Amino acid sequence: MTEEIQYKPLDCAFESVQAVFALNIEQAVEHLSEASLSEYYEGAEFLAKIGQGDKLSIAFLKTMPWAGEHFGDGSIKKITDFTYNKICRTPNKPAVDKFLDSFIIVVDHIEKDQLDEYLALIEYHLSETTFSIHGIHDTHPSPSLIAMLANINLLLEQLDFKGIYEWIDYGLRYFKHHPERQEEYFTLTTADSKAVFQRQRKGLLFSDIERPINLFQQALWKTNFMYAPYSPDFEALEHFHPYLEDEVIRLPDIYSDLNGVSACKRYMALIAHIIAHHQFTTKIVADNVSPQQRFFTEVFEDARVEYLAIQQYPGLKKLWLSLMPVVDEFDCDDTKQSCLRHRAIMLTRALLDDNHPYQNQIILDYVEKFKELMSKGETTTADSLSLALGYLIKTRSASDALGSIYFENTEVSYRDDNRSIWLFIEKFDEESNIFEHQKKSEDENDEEVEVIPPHYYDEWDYAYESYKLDWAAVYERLHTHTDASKIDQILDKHSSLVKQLKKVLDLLKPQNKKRIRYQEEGVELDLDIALRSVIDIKNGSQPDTRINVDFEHDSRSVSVLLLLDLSQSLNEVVGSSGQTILELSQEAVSLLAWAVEQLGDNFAIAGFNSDTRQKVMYYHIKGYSEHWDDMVKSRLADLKAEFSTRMGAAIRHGAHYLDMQQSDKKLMLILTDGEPADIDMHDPKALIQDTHKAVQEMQQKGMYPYCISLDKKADEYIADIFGSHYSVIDRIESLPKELPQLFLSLTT
Amino acid sequence: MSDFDINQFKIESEPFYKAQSNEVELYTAAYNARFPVMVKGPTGCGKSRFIEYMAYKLDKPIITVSCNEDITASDLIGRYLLDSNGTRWVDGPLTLAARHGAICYLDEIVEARQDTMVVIHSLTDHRRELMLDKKGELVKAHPDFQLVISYNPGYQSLMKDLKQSTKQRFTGMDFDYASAELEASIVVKESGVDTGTAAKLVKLAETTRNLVGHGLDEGASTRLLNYAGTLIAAGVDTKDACHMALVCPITDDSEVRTTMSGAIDAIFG
Repeated sequence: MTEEIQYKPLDCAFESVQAVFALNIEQAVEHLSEASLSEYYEGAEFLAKIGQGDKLSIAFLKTMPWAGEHFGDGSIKKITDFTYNKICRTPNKPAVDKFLDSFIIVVDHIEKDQLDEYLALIEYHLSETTFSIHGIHDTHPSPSLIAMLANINLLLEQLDFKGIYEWIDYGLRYFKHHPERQEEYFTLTTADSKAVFQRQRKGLLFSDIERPINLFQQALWKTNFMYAPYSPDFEALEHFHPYLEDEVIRLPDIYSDLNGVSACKRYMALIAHIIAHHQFTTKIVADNVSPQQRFFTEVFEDARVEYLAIQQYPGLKKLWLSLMPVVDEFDCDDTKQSCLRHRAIMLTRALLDDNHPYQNQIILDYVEKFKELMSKGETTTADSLSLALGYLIKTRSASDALGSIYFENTEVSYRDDNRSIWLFIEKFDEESNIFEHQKKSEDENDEEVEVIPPHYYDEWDYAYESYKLDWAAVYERLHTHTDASKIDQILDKHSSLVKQLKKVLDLLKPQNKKRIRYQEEGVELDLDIALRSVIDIKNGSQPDTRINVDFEHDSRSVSVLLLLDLSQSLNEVVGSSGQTILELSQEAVSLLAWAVEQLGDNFAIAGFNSDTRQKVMYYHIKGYSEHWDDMVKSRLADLKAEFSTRMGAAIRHGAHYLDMQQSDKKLMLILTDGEPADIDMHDPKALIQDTHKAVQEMQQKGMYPYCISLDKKADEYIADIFGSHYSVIDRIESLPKELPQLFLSLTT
Repeated sequence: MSDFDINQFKIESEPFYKAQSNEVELYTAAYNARFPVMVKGPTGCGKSRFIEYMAYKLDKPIITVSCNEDITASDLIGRYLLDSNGTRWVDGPLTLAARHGAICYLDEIVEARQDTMVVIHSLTDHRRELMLDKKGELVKAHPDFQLVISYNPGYQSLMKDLKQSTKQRFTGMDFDYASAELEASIVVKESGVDTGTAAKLVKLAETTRNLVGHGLDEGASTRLLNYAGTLIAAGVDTKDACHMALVCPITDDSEVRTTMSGAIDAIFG
């Protein structure tokens, strides 16, 4: 190190730059080709002379050896030009050094030939977010470039370029003219930003594959652990490992393909490993075992449980091996860095892979010992510990304690954090629980109803012709209840109407036909039986006279959801009757529910109102499987009207359940007294359009929406939402009579 | 009718059957007492094969009737048919067996309607006789006659069950899939694959059996394992054969199929 190699001096007057140059030139010479090296000099000298101080050159000198090596000749020049033309000459100067620094991370995540794509991405972001208030020239820096560059690691790691563009576009669409919100968005701290980010991630979401994985553990091990998927942590960037605790498997919520193994197979590999521990690991006390000893015990224990699992399911070996990184035996120089992890990963592979490439005698010895142990049968976790202790003594090196640790490619992604092996007698705080904060918050609200998490639904933004992701939070609650006799009184009050309805109901004939054999009277002759009877007659014995077939109408196959608008406006009194719209609705719904119960159709009632997109309430009044009994009546009797009408979200939620019903026809009746609106939406068209979209969505899924509006002015907008599927009832007083009739005419 | 040869119903060559436990002795004892027997068990676990095997061992003819919903009492007993001279009586399978002394095997009896099965009652108690009311004949059962029924409790529904009065005329034998080793040896014998592959096939079948109630109504049967084994022995790629014989027939659920292909990979690598 002390030998003085003379490098070509850097032509620069900043002493600070010269100092950094001296620190980095060795790296540069080592990593860069001659052409790149001269680009390196030119760039550093140039950036020091453009009147932006020393910061640029310093960042440049530090990062370009890596960028130049990764992207090849010409790349440093390209970056220099881009820095000068696209950033330094715009109001975005403060972001320059962050931009240059980003290359340290960028080289890890993108391919050699993707430099242009990365530069184009930055340019796109800049050109879209840098703006001027007056005049032609851009005068204000991008409020969000620095924020985005700070997250570049996460972005490139989790998204592909297409996803990043989508994420940027979403932010631009909503916050382009709102610098503070824009910055918030691009720091990945807002809910929207996270939601869009999650959506754009590359790979397979666990939720899409949960059932097959669940069946997988059921099929192979008859276990039935629950899952708690976790997302990468936005703030801390902490690296999580899967683990099994309290009968719950914590695992990443998304996987992309790795080494040609599909994401689905990766989840299977993970589950297989975790269950192998569950089957074969016995806890041992950790307090007297040093971290290094524990580390190697885990290596042997992982190998041991996998060995045993492979005895059961030999194919797992191939799967696991294909997910295990391969390192070169001589990659790690133990005079300079700690080779602990390097040794461990070699050992890990050698223990599992019979064709491993390693020649190290100690490794070979211990693989032999391990195999000998395993072939004897009966092993425990304690055996892993004793192997580990021996191995560590044989291989211990002074460099193990070095701060610089060989880390590259030493992690096996499908393996858990092995907390299941250790029993800590003394409490200490190393163990991290990803879900701790969640647990706590749940405990706090134990008594409140709010524990049931909301369902999130997208909302249609007609101005941008796209969905706002996970925009409306729908909370589903059981409606409160009161005295059921109120509803019976209503039915008594309308007894003449009830009688009328009864007649109509009797006339209703469903469509499907079913054959009934052996009938004396019927519409057709049953040839088989008739022939038999003829033979009987010829024979002189008693013939069977039941020689006809008849047909019977099979039951109706209709599912109906009645969705009630429970917004504030229902409290208005109608005309001179003194009744509110709500009371009339209540009467109408009671009659309808009674009628449908007579028909035996699959029928549910729900109500909704909303108080901004954060709180759309969806009240469960009658479920499909519930009968028209006192419980349902008592809920209906307690209807209350408050807040606003965010109809789209409620329709989506109702459709979600209606879609699950097994019927030929699915009908959603929406009873409302006004247009969709909410206090956080100022554009009256926005929610109308969103509701229209929701209606279209359910039609596409084969459900039939129908709106009964009590708004006399509904003609102005209702056709925009429901097309021709609506009725406007002008005389609200007649609602109790009209609603059941309308239903009957719709379903026959 | 006198020229009727009941021996055509005899099993000519010994069917391959490996006893799981003492079922051969139990059956023999039941036959010696001429008790009616019901065998229960999942699809394809060897019920019919066992009855055939026993018929062979006892050297008795066996008449098999596969039951279905439309089967009537006269389908079992017999009926008059029209011919050029007027009408002619033809014995049904049950009457044939009772008259000539065969084992009458009613396969999947729950598929038939409950009231149809009442006709067997008089044959299955101390009377051992069958009234042919149309013909006006009382058939006394041949001393060798025995009635055997089979059914699969796996897909029993409320609609499909035997009447208590029918059930309580039978002695019962439970069948299940053979133990892993035994099942593997059956697969080896029936399909000609090597022992290792057979063991893996059995392992795979176990995974499907673990899924009963979680997306499958019934796991893969020994019969399907033999199919898979035969395909493999004929040179078909192992995974393709498993898919064709063990996954495709038992489920249409794409998620269960994903799981099964994972299981195939875990077992066959």
